[in-house]
Amino acid sequence: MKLLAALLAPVVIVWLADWRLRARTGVIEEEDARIRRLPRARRR
Amino acid sequence: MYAGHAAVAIALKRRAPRLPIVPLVLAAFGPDWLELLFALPVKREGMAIFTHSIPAVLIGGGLAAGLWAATRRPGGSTIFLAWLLHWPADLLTGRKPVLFRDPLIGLDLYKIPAVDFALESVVIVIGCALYARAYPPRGELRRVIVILGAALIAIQGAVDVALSVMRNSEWTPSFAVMDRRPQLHPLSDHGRAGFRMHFAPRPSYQPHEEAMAKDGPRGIVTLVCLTCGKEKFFTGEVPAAVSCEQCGSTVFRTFATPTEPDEAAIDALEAQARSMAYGDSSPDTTRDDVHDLDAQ
Repeated sequence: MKLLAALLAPVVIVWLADWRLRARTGVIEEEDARIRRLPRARRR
Repeated sequence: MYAGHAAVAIALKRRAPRLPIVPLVLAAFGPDWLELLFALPVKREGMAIFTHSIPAVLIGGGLAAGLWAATRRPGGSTIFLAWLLHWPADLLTGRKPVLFRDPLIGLDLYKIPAVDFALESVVIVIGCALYARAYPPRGELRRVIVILGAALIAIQGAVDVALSVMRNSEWTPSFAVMDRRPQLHPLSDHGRAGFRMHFAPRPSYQPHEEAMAKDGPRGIVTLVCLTCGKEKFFTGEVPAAVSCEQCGSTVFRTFATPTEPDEAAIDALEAQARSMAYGDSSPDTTRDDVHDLDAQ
């Protein structure tokens, strides 16, 4: 059981970080695209 | 290696951006998962040959990559590489089989938890740095990767603290183990059962010492694990690398028990012999001693 927990721990940690990174990257890319779609005058 | 395997996996993520991270990390720990499966329902001795030897790693990695490729998703070669890199990574921290059960090779740094922690932390930092290059250079993304690295270092620290508490055995890297002498030497002129043991440590394998070693009595060698006390018995030659099936330690206290007529052994047994038959009187027990015992 301890070995199972030890093997699962890094998988869960990396999965959480990757999920967070992909989510943030998606949000950032979406925001960038939205800003690019705005008229130049409203970007500021 | 423990958290270092996860660092290897995230470092490989750049190689296959479309490959999900979970199968990649699972592949990096692949031989350990196999070892866990083989330990079900009861732990078995000597499974490392089927999980952590070079052929086992090649076959396991190939099967995992094949299974992944069967789902028609990209990244099968990266799965194979992650599985394969498990072996050299473990070489630094433990002792693993190469082709057969013996010899086990490796630096065995698990026995020096502080060094293991430093090494794995470096691997984690490098892995995170390579992983960060797969994402745009933005502060909030870097922050997540720093937290990831810190979390991996933290679980590695927890494991190393546990190792330092549990295992206080001697550091035995493979080059030291390879020099360990066998306790029994087969004698061609005594047939298959002809083994002789030598009781005194030998500094080297000089020919005249080999000849002297053959003069010892035949018998059983008992190895008692210094960490947990588990005993292993050998009637033949003791393997060059022995590990305790209970705690994994490789340091033993050795006891040789002669099983053939030997003058010194017979003398010792005669001197210590006492009758165990019911009703036999003990030679050193007086009638008063028995009376005192009965009174109690």
